[in-house]
Amino acid sequence: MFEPVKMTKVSVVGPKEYLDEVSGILYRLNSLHIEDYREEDEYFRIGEPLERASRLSRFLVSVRSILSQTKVDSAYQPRRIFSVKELDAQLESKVSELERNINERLNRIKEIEEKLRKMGEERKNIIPLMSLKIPPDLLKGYKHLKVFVGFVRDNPFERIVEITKDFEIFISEYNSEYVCAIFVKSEFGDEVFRILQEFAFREITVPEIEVGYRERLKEIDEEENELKRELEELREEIRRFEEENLDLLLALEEHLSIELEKSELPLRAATSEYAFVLVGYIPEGSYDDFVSSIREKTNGKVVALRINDKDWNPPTFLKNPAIAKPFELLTKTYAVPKYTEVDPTIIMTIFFPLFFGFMLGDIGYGAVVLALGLYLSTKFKTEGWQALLKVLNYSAISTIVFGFIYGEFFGFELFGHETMFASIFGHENSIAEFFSSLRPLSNRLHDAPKLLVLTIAIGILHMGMGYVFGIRNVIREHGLRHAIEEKLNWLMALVSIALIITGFIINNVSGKPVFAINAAYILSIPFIILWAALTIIGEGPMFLIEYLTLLSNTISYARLLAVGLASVGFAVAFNYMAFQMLWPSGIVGVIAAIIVFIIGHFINILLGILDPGLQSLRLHYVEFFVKFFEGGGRLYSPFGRRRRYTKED
Amino acid sequence: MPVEGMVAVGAGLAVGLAGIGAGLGEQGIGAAAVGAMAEDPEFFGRGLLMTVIPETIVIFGLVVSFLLMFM
Repeated sequence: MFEPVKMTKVSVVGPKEYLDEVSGILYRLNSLHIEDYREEDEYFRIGEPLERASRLSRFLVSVRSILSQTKVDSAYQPRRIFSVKELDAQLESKVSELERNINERLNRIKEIEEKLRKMGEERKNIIPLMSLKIPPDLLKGYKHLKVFVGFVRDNPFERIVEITKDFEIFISEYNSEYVCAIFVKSEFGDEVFRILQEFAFREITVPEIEVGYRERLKEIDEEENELKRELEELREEIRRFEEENLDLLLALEEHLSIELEKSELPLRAATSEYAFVLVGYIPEGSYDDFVSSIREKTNGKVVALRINDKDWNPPTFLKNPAIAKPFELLTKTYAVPKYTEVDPTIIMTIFFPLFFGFMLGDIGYGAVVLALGLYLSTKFKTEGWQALLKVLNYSAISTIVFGFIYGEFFGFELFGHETMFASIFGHENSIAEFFSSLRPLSNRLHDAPKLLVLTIAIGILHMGMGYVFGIRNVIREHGLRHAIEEKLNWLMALVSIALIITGFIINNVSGKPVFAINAAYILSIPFIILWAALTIIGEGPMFLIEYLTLLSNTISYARLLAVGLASVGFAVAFNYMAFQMLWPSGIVGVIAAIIVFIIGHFINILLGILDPGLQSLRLHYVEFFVKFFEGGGRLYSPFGRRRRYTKED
Repeated sequence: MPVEGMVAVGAGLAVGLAGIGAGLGEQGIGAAAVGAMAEDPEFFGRGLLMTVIPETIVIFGLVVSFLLMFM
């Protein structure tokens, strides 16, 4: 629970021709975390993928390219599960059928898009030519004349005159440029062209059309509309086709990726001429099962064995009870614990909702957040969202519990003399009397100083736990001496801080001056000496300054109260505003009051999810994890996977 | 609990000024953390951790204002 699953290093050895079979067995067992073989030597080389790999990957590319046209919801539930046998039997025909269906249409789409592009260009040429008012057949097809049609920056007339007088120019303004058509004798063509280049001449290709410009534009418009309609139909057909075949496509994709992964297993193995060796880690609990099922299925030709070598770096397989599972997400977001480290997920499962509830603590808000969480968890089905929403739901339940402790309902006081029922029904009402006879365990606004002390105490407990984990982690990795010098000393420091704060409170309550000597202060002295001595020996005198960091960490837990008070403050303010509007001004006031009430609490609930969530996370990440958690582990990812769209027989 | 006017002003200043300070501190860290996260989303946890470190200063301000108001 507090530790990752214990692992065993195993090697699987057998004759090479059994690799295919072994890959199937391992995939089904889904428990071997393979360590890829990397260092080739003269005897062992990295294996080569099985023969069928290239064929499979070709199919897979086709299927994926078809699938890339549709967006599949990751929580999609298939209507039909295909059996592997069925898929294998008609793999070739199915894939090529799907491909043909899609590709025909895709090709037509490409064709249409090309046509549309060409027509667009033609239109772009025709529109400026129209302003010249010369029919297209007159702009080309001369034997002894050269015709320049295009855009120029300025009128080139003066310059052309310098070369020849035998020319004709038509020019008109177009979009802050000029469109011109210049007719000259062929022998002056080159020279005129050079001049035109100085005027930034850009040629317009005169379209090959028999009709006039206007008619042609109309034709283009009509044709374009028709093509666009066809394009839409084709896209719709593809979409419909894929929707109809989605289950098949997903099944094929899954089947092919599994088969490809299997056939690429040799790439991760060391192979000699006749044998192969696979090395990896399996959970210790499944060792016997693993070994026997490999032996049985290969008639003893392939052997799996436990190996003990110095190259020991197992992956981290987090294992927590179902209730704590969603909190693994929060742990992993910070870092994956090393194999030797404590997995703090369980502690987070307890303290994250506790902190959240402590901060938000309102029956009404808790109920709204819970309803929201439950609703969203029916909408967002991906694994990450589900985990996150479960965390939110736990937090909401804790918020409701704390709501009863504080006696708060949407910022109103539920219990006591000022109960909300008294303002609604009057003090004489029996409901109001009943509620005003009850007392909340703690009213946050009145008990703030007491709660402040409580938050600090919670913080000291929380961080103390962190140091206990830290001691255990360091003992596992570096030994007892390091643990005493690096972690135990800080636990001493924490105790001394707790004692000093206690002394401070004792003086405050009994009305003595702050630094008056009392038992708690005196008791803290040996702890401080112990801490200082251990720290100087272990880490050096520079680290004494870290005492202040620890102090600030401790005080940091005051945010548990602060965030809560801010939230109550908002709620009370909105309620006050709403009530002020409600009574004096009739129906308008009632509507305005309702609007203020709803908008105000809506904003406050949004903040109430975000802020306590982040602050609670922060207290874990910054104050708690830093005491023991290094991270840097590798997640356990066994060879194999759970099938969703296909089934083995 | 009678609270003198100036004490209340002092308590407000303690929280407000500490908040401004923490905000100034966090702006640079936050920007850098978002940049790092764009490179590698796995940085989120650590990015959040770095970003919120100056926040403790506000809590100091808050504790001071508490001591002023209640003790």
